[in-house]
Amino acid sequence: MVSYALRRLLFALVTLWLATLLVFGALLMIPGNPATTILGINATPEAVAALEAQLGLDKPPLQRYLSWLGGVLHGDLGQSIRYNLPVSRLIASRLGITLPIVAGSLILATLISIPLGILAARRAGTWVDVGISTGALLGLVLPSFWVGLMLIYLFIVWLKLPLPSSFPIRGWHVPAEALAAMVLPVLTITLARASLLVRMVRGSILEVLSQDYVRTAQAKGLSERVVLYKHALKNAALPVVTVLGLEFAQLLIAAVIVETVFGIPGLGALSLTAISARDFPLVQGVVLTLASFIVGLNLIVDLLYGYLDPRVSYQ
Amino acid sequence: MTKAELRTPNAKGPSRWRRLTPSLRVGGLIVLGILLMVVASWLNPKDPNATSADRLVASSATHLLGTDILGRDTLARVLAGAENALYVGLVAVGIGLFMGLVLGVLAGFFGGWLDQILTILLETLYALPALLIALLFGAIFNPGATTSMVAIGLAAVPAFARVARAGVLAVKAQPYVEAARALGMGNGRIMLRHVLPNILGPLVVQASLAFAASILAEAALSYLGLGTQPPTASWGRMLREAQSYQELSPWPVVWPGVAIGLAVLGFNLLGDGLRDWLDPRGKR
Repeated sequence: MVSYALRRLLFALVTLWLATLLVFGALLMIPGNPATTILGINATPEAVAALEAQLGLDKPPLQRYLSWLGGVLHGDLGQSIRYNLPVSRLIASRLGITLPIVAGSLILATLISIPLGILAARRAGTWVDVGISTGALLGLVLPSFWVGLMLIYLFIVWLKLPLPSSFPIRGWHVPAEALAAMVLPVLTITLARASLLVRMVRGSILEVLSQDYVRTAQAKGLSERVVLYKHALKNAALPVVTVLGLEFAQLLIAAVIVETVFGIPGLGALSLTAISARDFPLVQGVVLTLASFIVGLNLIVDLLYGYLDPRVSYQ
Repeated sequence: MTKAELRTPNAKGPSRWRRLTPSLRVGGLIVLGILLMVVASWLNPKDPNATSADRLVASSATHLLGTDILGRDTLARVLAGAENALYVGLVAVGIGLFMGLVLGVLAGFFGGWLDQILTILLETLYALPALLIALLFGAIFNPGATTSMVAIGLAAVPAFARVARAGVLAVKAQPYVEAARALGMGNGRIMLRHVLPNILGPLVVQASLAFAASILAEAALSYLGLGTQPPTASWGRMLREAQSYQELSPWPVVWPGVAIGLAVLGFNLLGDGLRDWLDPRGKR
């Protein structure tokens, strides 16, 4: 187990290192002089020279990469050109908005999908199952941002609910308003992402219920409740944990997109501003941060999987 | 009359259709519908970009699905969007399939250190969803249809490679590969003649699922402004534009979403159906 964990950790670190190479290498692909590209053709030569120095363009690529990587390891992602603030500080403040949305959606999606999945599996083939499965399929094929647009229409334009249509400028200093602004985004992402979980829980339980030991338990005369909760659920949890972990990464990406629908100034808005301003250090920082989250989550899922299922081979 | 005589070729038609799984039938029909939308878009005399004085019409005889704030016909734009979605899907899936196939076959066939290096590279790519690659490309070049297609394609590579690699590992152990090797066939010929034809099935399934995913990704990127640029009609772009006057008329927001949902559903069902159909164990 320990050697398996260490191998997985090493693998994740190598993956992250390769990601830094990709993210840094992208800068080298900018056609022409990046400083001119970022500042535009009307920039003064002095401004270009200053930015060149700031980006370290006067040094060879390898040296630039090493000093950038050294900074990244210390949590220093460089200086944003658009905001003239440290990239890490910008990202940290936006994560304070995006992560609560992601966490809220994940919790809500789990709370909704596990009972629904169990219900659909227990009533497999009935109209309850058909209803739940159809709903889950809809959530899977409809784009999350469109679901968000529909919710805005339903709740704000049609039902005229007093939900704020944007995030308060003072952010978390006004907790009630900030929370209210998160209701619709969380609901949107939950609706869009719970679908996969429902399908997974349902399929996983049906699979386990067809196993021999479940039949044995039933033959012993155990009640349906005991069979389901003591025998089936535990064994059905394994694939669900995996999906949950992968879901988190999907949720993060969905949150970045859905934020835009609701005008929430999270990581999504930050990355779009960075793109339009050609703020390359900021783009690099956002991409690297999100990629690190995904690698970290994959690592956790792998470790959990090895812990939950002793049969996983630690080759 | 004997039983054998009863089975005329004519009787085969409906039974072959009925033998297909429901998801294959429904998925196939929807995908066919999307293709017909593209044809309809070519035959449609209405220019999807032509503006008119009929603004924000909900539905009328001349504008079945209504018009947007510039008076453009929503139906014409949804049909043109189908062409755009299929085009982006084809290019993106093409990139993903080609690169994934090459990398997956190499990793599976040769194994060893090559396999390990490729696995780590693909794992890295896996940590970069289409949105992140599109962000990087959008910063380097200008955001647009090309960068979004390449981003979606690159993001699809790991899944294709995984399917190809697993297929190769299974095929490699088959006696006919051993026989080919014993006959003195080279690696290249074995891969092309024996391995490739036998892993095509799962790859076709993956291509259909990836097509659905790339339609969703294209819509999201275009919605964010990182994909197809105006005035080209794209479902995601239409949603982005329609959001700003949503409280005046919901219809320009509704229809592109319905189109995306249908297209994604069609390709997903087709992929699921093909998987069941190709699975010799016939699980369902």
